[in-house]
Amino acid sequence: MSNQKSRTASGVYNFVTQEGVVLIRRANAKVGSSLIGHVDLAMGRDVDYAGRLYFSGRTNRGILRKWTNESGHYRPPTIARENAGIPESLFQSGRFKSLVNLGI
Amino acid sequence: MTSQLDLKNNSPVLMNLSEEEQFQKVCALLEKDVIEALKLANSTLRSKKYFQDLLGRGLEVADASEIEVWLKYLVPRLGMRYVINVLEGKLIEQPQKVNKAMYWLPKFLNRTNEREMNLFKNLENKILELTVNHVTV
Repeated sequence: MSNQKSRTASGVYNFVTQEGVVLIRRANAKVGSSLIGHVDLAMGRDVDYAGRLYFSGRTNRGILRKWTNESGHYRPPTIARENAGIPESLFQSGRFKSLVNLGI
Repeated sequence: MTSQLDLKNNSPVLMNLSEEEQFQKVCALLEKDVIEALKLANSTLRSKKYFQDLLGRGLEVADASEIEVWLKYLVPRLGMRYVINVLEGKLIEQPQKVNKAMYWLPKFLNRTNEREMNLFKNLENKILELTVNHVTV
């Protein structure tokens, strides 16, 4: 029997997409003293995509504001974002682009 | 009750400790909860040397995801220029650790600070050179 409760998402979540299934976990969730990263969420396996989901909070919980490709482990390229299986209109690239590559 | 909760509920007691003792509490809490420990460090510690020590620890122990949290709390206290210098110093011996941090570092860059941007770009170029040389060899 599961003791998990349904909750309306708010705040920041990590996600990985594997074989069409999107797995998510709060970005500040921990196991022991360590944060649960994308590689933990994916149980060390390959992913189709990885990143973060940003849900609205407080007054209008559960609404996905944007999602990104922020993942230190998988570093998915923007161009492969369709693999995530999440509406592309809400995608925003993470703020960690190489300045050299950007020519800044 | 865990020591983590003890620390949270006893911040007035913590404030009465010496900074070295506070740092020891932070180190103890790091074993249990990284985020709470770094928050505690930010709210209690003043000397830069403790934050420098914490950055060294973070680069040692954090994985490719967790290093973001360490940088989030330590860059504002140490300054981007210091953090970049530390990473540059570790580039030859520990390139993987530097690479982990470099992924997240632009998130904390002040893009209006030209000096900061140039330092970051120089380090990126050094990493690229190192990668090219490594591949060539």
